[in-house]
Amino acid sequence: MNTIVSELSMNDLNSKFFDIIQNENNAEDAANFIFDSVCEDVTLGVLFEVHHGIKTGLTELLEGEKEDEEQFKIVNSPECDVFGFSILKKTPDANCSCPNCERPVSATRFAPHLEKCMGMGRNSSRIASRRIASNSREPTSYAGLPSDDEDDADWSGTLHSERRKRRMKSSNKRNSKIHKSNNGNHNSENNDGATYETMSANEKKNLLLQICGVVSEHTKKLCTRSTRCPQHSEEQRRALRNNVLEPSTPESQSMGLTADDAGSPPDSSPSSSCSSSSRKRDRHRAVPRTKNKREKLSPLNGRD
Amino acid sequence: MTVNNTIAHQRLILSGDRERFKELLRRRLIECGWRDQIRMVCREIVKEHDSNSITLDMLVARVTPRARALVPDPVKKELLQKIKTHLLTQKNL
Amino acid sequence: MNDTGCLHLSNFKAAKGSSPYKIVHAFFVASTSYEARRYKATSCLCFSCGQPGPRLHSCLHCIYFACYGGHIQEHSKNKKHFLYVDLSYGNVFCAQCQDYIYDRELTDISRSNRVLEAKSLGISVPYTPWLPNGNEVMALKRLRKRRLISPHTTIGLRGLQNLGSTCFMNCIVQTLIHTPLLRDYFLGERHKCKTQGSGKCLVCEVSKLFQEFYSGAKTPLTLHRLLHLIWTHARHLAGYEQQDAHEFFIATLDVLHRHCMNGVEETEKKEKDRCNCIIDQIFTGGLQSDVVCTSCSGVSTTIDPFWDISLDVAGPGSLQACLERFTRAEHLGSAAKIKCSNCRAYRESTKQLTLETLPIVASFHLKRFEHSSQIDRKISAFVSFPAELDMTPFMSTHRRAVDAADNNNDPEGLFEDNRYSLFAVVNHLGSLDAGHYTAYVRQMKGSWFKCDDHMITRASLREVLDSEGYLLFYHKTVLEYECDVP
Repeated sequence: MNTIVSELSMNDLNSKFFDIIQNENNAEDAANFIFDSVCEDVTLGVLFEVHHGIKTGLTELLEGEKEDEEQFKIVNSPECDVFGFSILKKTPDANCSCPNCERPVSATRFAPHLEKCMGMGRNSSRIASRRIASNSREPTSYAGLPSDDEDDADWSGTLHSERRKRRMKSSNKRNSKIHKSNNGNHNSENNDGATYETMSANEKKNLLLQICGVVSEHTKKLCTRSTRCPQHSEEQRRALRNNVLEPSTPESQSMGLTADDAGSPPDSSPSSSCSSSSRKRDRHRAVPRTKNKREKLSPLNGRD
Repeated sequence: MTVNNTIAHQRLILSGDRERFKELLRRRLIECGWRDQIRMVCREIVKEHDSNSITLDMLVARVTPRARALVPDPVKKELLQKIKTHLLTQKNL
Repeated sequence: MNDTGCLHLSNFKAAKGSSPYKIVHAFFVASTSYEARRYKATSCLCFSCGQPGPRLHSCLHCIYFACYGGHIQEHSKNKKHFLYVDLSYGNVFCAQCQDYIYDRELTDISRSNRVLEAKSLGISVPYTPWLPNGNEVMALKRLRKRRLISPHTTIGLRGLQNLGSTCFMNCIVQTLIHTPLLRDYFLGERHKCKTQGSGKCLVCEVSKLFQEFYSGAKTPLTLHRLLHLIWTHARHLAGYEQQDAHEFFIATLDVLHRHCMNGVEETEKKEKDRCNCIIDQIFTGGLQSDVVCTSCSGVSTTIDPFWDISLDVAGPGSLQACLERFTRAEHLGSAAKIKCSNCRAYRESTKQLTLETLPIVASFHLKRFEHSSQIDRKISAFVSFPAELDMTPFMSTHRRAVDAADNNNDPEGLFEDNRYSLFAVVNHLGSLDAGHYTAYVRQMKGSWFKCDDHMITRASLREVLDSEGYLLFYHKTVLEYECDVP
């Protein structure tokens, strides 16, 4: 007698199942059966997608009309690149507008221009010294570290960039924000022989918020590069501030200790093997801070 | 015999593994290009007919046998082996 | 879109609402809990023949399960219950229309149940095709032209001007533009900026770049604004001399990551580490460090996020060999004793690094440049790298699983897939003093291009794999599928 079983009990699914599965042939048959069932299911899925696309008009909607490809066809010639430009021709030049000073600059010489324009690189220390020598008594408008985060605060509105532009134009004023930009307008030919002896406490304090400040052994001059200049180490800068500033000033404590290292993610080290640079200059990398310490004593047995 | 298969099949539904195997097979079949092949076959069929008259059952009838044959052997072997091993190592729920 | 079902379904919904469908779906189509699966397992068999298939359906009008081999049709005719639901996908068949019909409301119910089901099963939600909303449908109707990425067109390719030894930047930009997930993110306009187009957001600038690359224009681009933005926000990269592409890559990711946060993407957390920005989602992995005390065998584990892996180059070899060395257990000698919290004393130990979480894009940096007080040199030893890479041997789970339980029973284990595909290579040619960077990028599977500043030319995979390799970029394989180029 053939009873149709259209319902199973939990017992069926447990004990009976285990009995059945003891026999490997049964397991083999069952695997085949299940595979066929699953395979048909997957096929059905694709067919439903196609059918759905047709019936709802979605397929037609997405497909639209194919754009004519001829105009974008890749050029297949050994003398040309994919766009059809000759590989023998030199770099085509163009003009672009410098985002910093807004002057037109030749593209192929843009990078060296920008470097000077933004006050970085080898020559900028000379320019910066001139600027410092002719600085105003303007108190600093912030007590914190000159860090890139300041820039982020900038773009909450365009007002700031307007203010900055105005400052740039009046060449004698010192920028109290981080951008040491557009210093090329300085004419004041002062010596760069400022030393700490001749400065007031306030001047020293203000100055050391802006520049590295470490005194060079052979020239006896102050380093006027940025507070993160790679030529000198954080220890040197800290030591200098301890010497030069009054011990109670917060600047001497906080300088250079929590610099926002834009070279790596806020709390990530590029693995434990710090990479060395392909540049000639020896770059200091801030010591990777491992912020994500989770101390566990026994071996983990699974991913969190 | 088929009762055994049914029981095994339902057991995998209970444990949720039938859905998991289905998802695994689906991924494998996408990777190897099978899905795109099937879609191409469907396109051919659709072209022959007025789009209003295409029913799912038409597609099923025309496509399923070919679809089955186009499943690459390595994929089939992998799934069969995994399903079988899984059945044999099921624990009490 | 024509997804309002049919008259018969509308009448049914008017009388009974969408609850019958919801219930049937949540129990018998996409079981959203163990309880539901119990019901499904014990009762979803054809009432007529007892089989679990083929194509089991549930009547929408009453409790009746039957297969498509004639039995559900029979029930339908006899009882005049014209609507039934397929239990594989939840699609509704209307016997009066003689076909499956699609109703948007029911489709949405189906999709949310699928999410719950996936959660209940501990797997990720299966991909479902995108369904446009009302506005999107209108837009698609209005704008009919479609631009496709193909291996025969220059769509997605642009040359980049050298602005004075800025080839390092050009190579990194080419890499980012050809990172599939980034492309999808930007072309899908997912970045909503809070800076009102001030021109200071690097993410916005990159977004514009994507538009340029896919515009079909052929003239080389000038990245002067990008350079300015990066030098502004990463001051340590100061200076015009030839820079390191690797450092530039990390700095760029960092600025993008910070600007994403400031732009505040939707589900941002306030924590400083791992936000959910697109950069973190794509590039951030977890590096596990296990330090084992040789005296008491106590293990101290830390996991740190990383964006790339820097590998020592020790003579000619392969990328896999470098990774093997990187994840090898090292005995830290007596000069480097650590304080064991278990022993409460300084002990010798072994340290091992493994990959705990793999990022979607895995970036490798071959340390070819050595700087020391005595010597500056470039290591040009050939390190071979594959087009497809399986990261399993270097993962924490793998190293631990030597004597672990059978993976088959572990839902994660079934889908564990650590395969990666190469999609970009940055090379450095020449010496330390006078060098030049070029990049190979993959536009589609099987279609590679060499990017030499403004010169873009076709390249073979062979050429790519034979190149020296300085920065190697791999993308998780299973997230994408592309058709083969004949």
